[in-house]
Amino acid sequence: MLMMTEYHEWLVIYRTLVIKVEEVCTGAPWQAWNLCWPLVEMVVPVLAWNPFPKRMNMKRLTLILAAFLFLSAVPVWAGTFPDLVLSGGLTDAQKRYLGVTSEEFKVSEIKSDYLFVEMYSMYCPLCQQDAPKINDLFYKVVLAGRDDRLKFIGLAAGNTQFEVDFYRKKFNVDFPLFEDAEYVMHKALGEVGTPTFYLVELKGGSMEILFFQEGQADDKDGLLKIIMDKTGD
Amino acid sequence: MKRYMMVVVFVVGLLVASASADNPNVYPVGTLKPVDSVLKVKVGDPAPDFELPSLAGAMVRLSDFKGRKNVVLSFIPAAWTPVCSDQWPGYNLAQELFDQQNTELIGISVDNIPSQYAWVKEMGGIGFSVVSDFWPHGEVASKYGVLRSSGVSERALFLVDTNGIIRYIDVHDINVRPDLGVLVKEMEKLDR
Repeated sequence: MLMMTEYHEWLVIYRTLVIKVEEVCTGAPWQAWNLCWPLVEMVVPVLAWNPFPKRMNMKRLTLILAAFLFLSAVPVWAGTFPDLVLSGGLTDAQKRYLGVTSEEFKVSEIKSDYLFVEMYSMYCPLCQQDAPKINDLFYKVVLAGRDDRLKFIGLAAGNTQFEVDFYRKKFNVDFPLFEDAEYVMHKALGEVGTPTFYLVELKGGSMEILFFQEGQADDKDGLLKIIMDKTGD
Repeated sequence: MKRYMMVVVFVVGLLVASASADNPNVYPVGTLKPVDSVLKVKVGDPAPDFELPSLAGAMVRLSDFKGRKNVVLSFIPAAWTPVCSDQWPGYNLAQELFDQQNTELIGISVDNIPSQYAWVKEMGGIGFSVVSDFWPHGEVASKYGVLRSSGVSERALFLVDTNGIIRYIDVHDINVRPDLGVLVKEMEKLDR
């Protein structure tokens, strides 16, 4: 029988492994792992209770798990950013920045060739630490004259409008931030950890995810280079 | 057979690993019964006094703030658990909102001091007072009626005015973080 302590040792060991893999393969497919959690919650306790009984058909079990993984991963392997509905709290200047006129609009309606998205939370210490770095990234894009083709937005997972407004004021965030109090957008993005960063191609209605990073923006310059390279055309 | 076992372990492991994308040190507790206690106080009652050891080393006594400051008591269920591990960092960021309302924020959990110390350090530090209701176990939580049957406290907020009177209570769904905006509005109603 697999004990809970062993379960968590597994968790730490494999999480470390995944982080190492992600460092090499920073692409959208890796967020596939995060889509699997609801299934894991069902499968792992069963395995933990009786992982390898004598008559278990291991080949079949492997196939079932592989199928779970594949089915969970399909939407993200496709590398398409969901056409989320965004609303609320924008100033006129921010509406002009995004090229929208209504209070509620879809991501695909943003007038830009590319979109940089930060999924964050006011309550996340790593996001708090990252806030000045992402601001700096935003201003560097503006200074490079790339801001007409590359827009920035933040999606606040589990944050109310009050909390979004406080975060904006606290860190002097100039790009638009959107509340996601009920985690609707967070769920649509596979309940990724915070912060998570996406670079999405919007031109031609593509919505292709060009870059994905789950975790802190430790290498700000590296991130800027990736953004500039991928949006340079 | 061994090969299949290895494949299964690898796939499951990768899946399990994904569960801790936010913070691998946070213990996944799953979804719990939203509220599992019965309040023993109500708005308008004098707040039961207490004296508890704080992470900073000193004892913290509620009645010491009487006549000087309003107090928010933030009970959280346990260290190293989801929601709790971001609720206090958020309050830490928003400390100025409490200061503006002449309000002292006190964080309370039933964990012992060493556990709180390691957890707070992991979160990058907390500026407000964190006190331990570990022994007698959960005595203060029990006085307020927010000690759950499992031995942890509810996720609860009590706003106490400068006269020591409870002016607002939110025993929140333990699985969900309370909206900071609601608490700030309640603080704004009090005299500074």
